[in-house]
Amino acid sequence: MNTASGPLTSVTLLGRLRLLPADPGAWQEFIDCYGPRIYRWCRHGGLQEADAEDLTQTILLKLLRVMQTFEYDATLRFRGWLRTVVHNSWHDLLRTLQRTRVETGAMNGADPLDSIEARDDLVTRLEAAYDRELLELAASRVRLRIAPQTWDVYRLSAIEQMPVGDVAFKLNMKVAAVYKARNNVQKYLRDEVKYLEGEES
Amino acid sequence: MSVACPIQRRLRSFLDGQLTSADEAMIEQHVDRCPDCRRALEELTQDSSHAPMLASHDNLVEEPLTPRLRKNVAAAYSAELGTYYNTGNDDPTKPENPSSTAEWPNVPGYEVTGLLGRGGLSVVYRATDQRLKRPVALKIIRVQATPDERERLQREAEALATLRHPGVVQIYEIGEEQGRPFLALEYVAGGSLSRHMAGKPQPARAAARLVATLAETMDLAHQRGLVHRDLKPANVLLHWDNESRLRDDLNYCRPKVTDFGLVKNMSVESGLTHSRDLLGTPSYMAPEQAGGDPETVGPACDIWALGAILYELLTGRPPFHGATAVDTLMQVRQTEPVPPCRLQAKLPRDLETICLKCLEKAPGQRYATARELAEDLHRFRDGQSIQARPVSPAGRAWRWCRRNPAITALTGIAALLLVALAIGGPVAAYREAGLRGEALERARQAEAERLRASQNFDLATLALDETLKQVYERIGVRPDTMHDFDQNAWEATIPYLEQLVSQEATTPELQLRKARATRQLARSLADRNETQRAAKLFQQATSALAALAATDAKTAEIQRDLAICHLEYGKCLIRNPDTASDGEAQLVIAAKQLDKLVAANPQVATYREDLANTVGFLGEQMLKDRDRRPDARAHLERAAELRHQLSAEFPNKQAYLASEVFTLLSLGMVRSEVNEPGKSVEAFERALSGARQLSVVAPGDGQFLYLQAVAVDGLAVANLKTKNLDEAKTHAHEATGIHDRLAAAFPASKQFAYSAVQSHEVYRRVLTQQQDWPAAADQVRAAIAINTRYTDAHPDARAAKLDSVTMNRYLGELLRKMGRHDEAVAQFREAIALGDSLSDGGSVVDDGIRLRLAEVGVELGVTLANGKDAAAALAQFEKVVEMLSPTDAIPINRELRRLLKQALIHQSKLLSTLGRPDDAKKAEAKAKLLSDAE
Repeated sequence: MNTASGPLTSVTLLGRLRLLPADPGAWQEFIDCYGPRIYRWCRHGGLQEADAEDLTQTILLKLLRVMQTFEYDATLRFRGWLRTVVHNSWHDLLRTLQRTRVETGAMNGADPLDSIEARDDLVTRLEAAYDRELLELAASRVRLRIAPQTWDVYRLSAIEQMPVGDVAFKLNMKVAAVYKARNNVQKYLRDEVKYLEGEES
Repeated sequence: MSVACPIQRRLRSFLDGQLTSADEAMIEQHVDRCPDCRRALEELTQDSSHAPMLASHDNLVEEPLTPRLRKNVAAAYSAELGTYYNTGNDDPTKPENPSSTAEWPNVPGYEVTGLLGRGGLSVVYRATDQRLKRPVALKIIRVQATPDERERLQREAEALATLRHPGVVQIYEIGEEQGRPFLALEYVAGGSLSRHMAGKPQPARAAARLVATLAETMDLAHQRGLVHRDLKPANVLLHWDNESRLRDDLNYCRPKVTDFGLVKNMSVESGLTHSRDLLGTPSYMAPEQAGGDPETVGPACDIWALGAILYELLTGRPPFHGATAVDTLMQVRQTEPVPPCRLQAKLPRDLETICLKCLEKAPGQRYATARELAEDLHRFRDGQSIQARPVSPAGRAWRWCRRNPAITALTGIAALLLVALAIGGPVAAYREAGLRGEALERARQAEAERLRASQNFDLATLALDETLKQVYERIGVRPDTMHDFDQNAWEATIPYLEQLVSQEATTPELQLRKARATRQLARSLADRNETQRAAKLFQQATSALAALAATDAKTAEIQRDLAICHLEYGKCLIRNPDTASDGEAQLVIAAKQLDKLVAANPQVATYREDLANTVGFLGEQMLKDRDRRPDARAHLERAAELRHQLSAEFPNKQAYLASEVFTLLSLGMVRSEVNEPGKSVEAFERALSGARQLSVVAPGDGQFLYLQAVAVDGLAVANLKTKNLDEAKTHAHEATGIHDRLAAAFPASKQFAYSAVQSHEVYRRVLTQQQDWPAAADQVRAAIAINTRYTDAHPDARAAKLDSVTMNRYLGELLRKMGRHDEAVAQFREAIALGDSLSDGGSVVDDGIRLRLAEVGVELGVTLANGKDAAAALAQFEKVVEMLSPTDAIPINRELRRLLKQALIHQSKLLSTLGRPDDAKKAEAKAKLLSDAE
């Protein structure tokens, strides 16, 4: 019996959050994973540390709140859902942002964060975190399915960028077989990511 | 591209596995030789998205949020969660979904006022019994109900009628309206436990009380032969006395079990239970239930579910929860729950123990009855000690690890595994080097908790055995692999061992384990060069084991432990030249004891292996002393004999064969040294055939390939000694080929680099004997290249750099022999510059550098003199003489004296050539003085 299959069945963080918004493990993880990216976004938009922290807090809470109440829409894929969450909270966020700006007297006129580009940038950052999570999950699942040597091929030649000739020698394989194994793993990964993303939607 | 190149499309098919194996083999052959195709494949398999993302793990990690910010958000969100759930539909009398009132059924005698919930089989409405003017819950079967489902409702009614108990929702009536059967049930105003919890942890004592009450209720049901099979928070309703001001306080509620729709009557054989359908709710389903075998479902399922409810009360979430029902079921069957204390820090240990006992995978490991569970929960509430024994810390650590994917799962307890090995596990090893690094890291993390938890020596050691067993299964450790544990890994175990050693051991069994722990601790300390403490501990372990051997019945095993203790103590002492002879004495004791043990127990292979190890080690030690070669040889012959017996007897044990190969290599060497070249060749040939056998078993293993190369090198040396130069050349050629591949594949390996250099050196000697100067020079260049690559990577590798000086000298000599005078001079100067750089401009001068510089200096001088540049040659010899001339502070050894004499003689000759006969005589006199001194 494969005892390792259990932990891998857990879905991505955002997926869990959407299903179970009150799960304390999930939302605390959410804060830890996505918070830093939001904070980076705020700083990128020119906010000072303290203001960036305030806005990060507001955005995190807003996102969590929207996730709680957001109606499940089976037609929406996960990315669409994420995008909608951000869009839905955008108006409120802007108000907070403006208040912050006014209180600190930092800004007159156009605000770099107050734009569609900035909003989309935030979505992109969050999506990147999601992609990464998805890929890591996919990799760990693929890895359990394939022979250790096949994974080694991918790890050495693709992730660690070792020349294929060296990989072939090290693993005592034909060069062409190394390419083939690498190709297989890439295909598995693509399929797995696609599958997981389907699961999440 | 050459004519035979497959077209791109065909390569694509190859990658996708769409070719026959014959075609695949053809392409594989072709690609090995065709750089164009390799490039094409490289392009076809470029991964521009995934691999970089997986590789960039470290640089993408963002700065974490400040703790203050994190805390603020968490606090704010917790607070919001509270309000969110509490503002839910708290008033059960209020219709939840007014728009669908049209669907409400019309049941004579009842007025339906609201929807309470929907299940798989039925819908539950809130209603008023118009005759008795009391609220009821009407459970009405769905319209499309099958006969089976009707049967279930009937069974539920019967069960409820059997269970007249305040802990069970009461049944008032069973009826049928318009073809839809219904039950009229007691209405419980407090709503379900799941709604009350709202995903939040509840106070521990209140949780214990609630589950104790539920367990008592279920005990009653079980006594009547009824198993609920679907206990979960949603099926527990909460009742508070109406006037209670403590509404909403779990401490004052009365839980009532409801929804007996899946009830199983143990005393009645029924058609329904033959179905292999999965019945129940995955998150609360026991593993045996999740397995779908109705035969195994009994009261233990309900006890599991009670544990799951307790778990959720304590942590705010069910023990298992996957994305899909199937995922959850997989978890239920295969993974261990996260210990509640890890989710809720301040949870009482005992309560966790009770909870986890309910959640044991094997029904027999849980509480035998719900009553026992209730009693243990009461004991906890009363502050008495509970009956359940906690799963030992190591066991829990193991389970915790098992929840983590692949590698991380097994590394967490790697250090414990090592401890277990030290104090009683079978000898085992595993090889993944990366694993060890992670193991250390994991071990460090686990350390604090483990130290706190492993107060109980007895329990800890037993748990370690269990851990070990599971680790074997999990990572497929092969106990017979040749690689020993990385000594560094033992470092991580020192704290655990210290802990174990400081415990009082009361029984002989524990005394033995303690002695073993002491021994291992001593060994680890010895590895850290804490020799004095190590020696003291070795002595402690020795006397403890000797005492045990005198009394205990399992004498042979203990005698073995004692012998091993002497062996390791000896190895520890031998490292220091001052105590080397004491160390040898210890080794001799060990060998004697093992000899006796082998004689008394000839069937035990381990003892023979130990004896071979000890005798072999003694042999290797003696090999270091030129004068003791015959002794060394005798020991190695004995060791080789023992090893050969073992490997012949157990042909499948790689480790025996590998050890035999090692010993044969040493034996070949010593036989060659005592001038028995024929026998030496025999040993090397056996070693080679063994190493080849091993490579067949484990083709990718560099170690086995390495052994082959060393054996072939041995053959080359032996043949060189007997002047079979052609034979020697063939072997040397083969050996350098293998060594080059190894050194290229493992550029960081000191062993492989050193050995490759040695191999080229042997080849050089063979070619020099054959007077093939250009080929010999090629060998030196190859050796220099490998050595340089290694020293570039390891700037501290001083010995290797010294070798470079010598090799540059060899190259110079060969160039001179080829008549390439200027190149030779340049080569010598390069060697000198290298040596100077090692002596740090003359500030670090030891005999090693002086010897090598002097060797080069003499050769350079000779070369310059041959080139008729007498003045330059003279200057060179003067430099050597100056460097080597002894002072009171710096005496010189025999080697250096020989060089000094050479330099003086050359100097004298040159001086007379240059017309300075007086100076020449002086130099000659000095040389003579040196000869006389010998």
